[in-house]
Amino acid sequence: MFEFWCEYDINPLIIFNQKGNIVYCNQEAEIFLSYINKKEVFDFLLKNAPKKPSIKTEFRKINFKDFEFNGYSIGYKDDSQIGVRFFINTDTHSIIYLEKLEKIDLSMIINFTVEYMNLKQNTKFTVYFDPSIPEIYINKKAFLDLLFEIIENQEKVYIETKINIGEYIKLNQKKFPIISVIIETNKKKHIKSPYFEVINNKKGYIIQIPLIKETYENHNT
Amino acid sequence: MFLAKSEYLQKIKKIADMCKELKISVYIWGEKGVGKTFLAKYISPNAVINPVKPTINPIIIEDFDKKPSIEFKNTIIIATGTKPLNKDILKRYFTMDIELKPLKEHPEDIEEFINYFLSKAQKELKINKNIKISDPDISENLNSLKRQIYQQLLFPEKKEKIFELLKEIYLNNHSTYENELKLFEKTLFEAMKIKYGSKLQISERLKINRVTLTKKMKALNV
Repeated sequence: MFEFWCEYDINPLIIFNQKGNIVYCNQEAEIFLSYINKKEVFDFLLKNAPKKPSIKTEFRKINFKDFEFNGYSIGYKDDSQIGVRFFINTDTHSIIYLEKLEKIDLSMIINFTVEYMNLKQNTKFTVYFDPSIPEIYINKKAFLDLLFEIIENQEKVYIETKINIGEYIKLNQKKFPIISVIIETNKKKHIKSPYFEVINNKKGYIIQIPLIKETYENHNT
Repeated sequence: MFLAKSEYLQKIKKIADMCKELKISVYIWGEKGVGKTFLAKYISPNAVINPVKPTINPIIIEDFDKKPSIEFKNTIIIATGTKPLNKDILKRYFTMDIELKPLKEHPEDIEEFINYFLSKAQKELKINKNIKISDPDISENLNSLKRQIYQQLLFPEKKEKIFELLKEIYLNNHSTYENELKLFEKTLFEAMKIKYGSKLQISERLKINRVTLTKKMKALNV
């Protein structure tokens, strides 16, 4: 039973031996380790481990690439093994994906943003648009608001759109591919949106949009 | 027809075209007479202006900044005003705002507008007269420019017509004989001063004694 709980815990749990090899990791940690090098994690452990055999828990923001954690517990009983449990960021909000959807050409919206922002301020834009993205249903006003908020008062902006291969999002029992709008800029603030998932990283922001080609009744308002 | 010679107005036109296609709610602001309502109509040609009851058409609301609220819901709202809106209000009702700058900031367009208004006025008034506007009045932007053009077009060519007009005015109100004459003399001398410059010349042309002229001009403050 204990193992079962550990295995399916939403927080990644990893146990290393003294050489830095993984003795055990749960399912969440497996995903985590497929992106992050285990050596990087092991070094972090050695750096932050308690001085005496015990468990040390600390709450602070830590980042491994795109993974963001709110804290960690590092513990060991003897020199042979050391374990860590990261606390995932629970500061998530439910995102309203299927509201006020309108069919729109995404490239047009981005071009429009570029033109409009060029009128208001002097921003240098570099835009790469994936032509394979079809017309999609999107909350136009919220998306434009979000873009304006990000680009406001920026001098240089790089925008790229692409379809994430192999990544899907499940909405209303249906699977949708994900479009990423990558905006690289001088990051000034943390941005959140009630309608889109916005990943804030060092270089800027990534807005993830479900690729909805058709809407069901009641959503097309 | 959207006149856009300057780079600035071309940019505005491009954005307006995109707004039209994307069907976005816009707030347009700028000085009096810069063409806010015109732009609003351009973005949404079949909109109802200042509607009293709900409609399915897009709506245009003028002077939105004076009373920033909308009584009924509508998907596309285009509003105009003279001042920028507070950010919260702007976000609640609109996606974006466009500022229309006064004519003096893009003077390249003035000539185009003069030609446009002139041909329009000529057609409307059925007057086939060519006028030249050397000193365009842009104090109230397009409003004052339009007024100036119409005024010049309707300006009487013969002196008799002016006196006829004057007669009409005298029928309604007049001051004393002395005052009326003074006004006339002053206008005459001012015109002569611009035309000839020196008093000697004026006195010769008007066949009036130079000393008398100088005295009169001094008294009239010309």
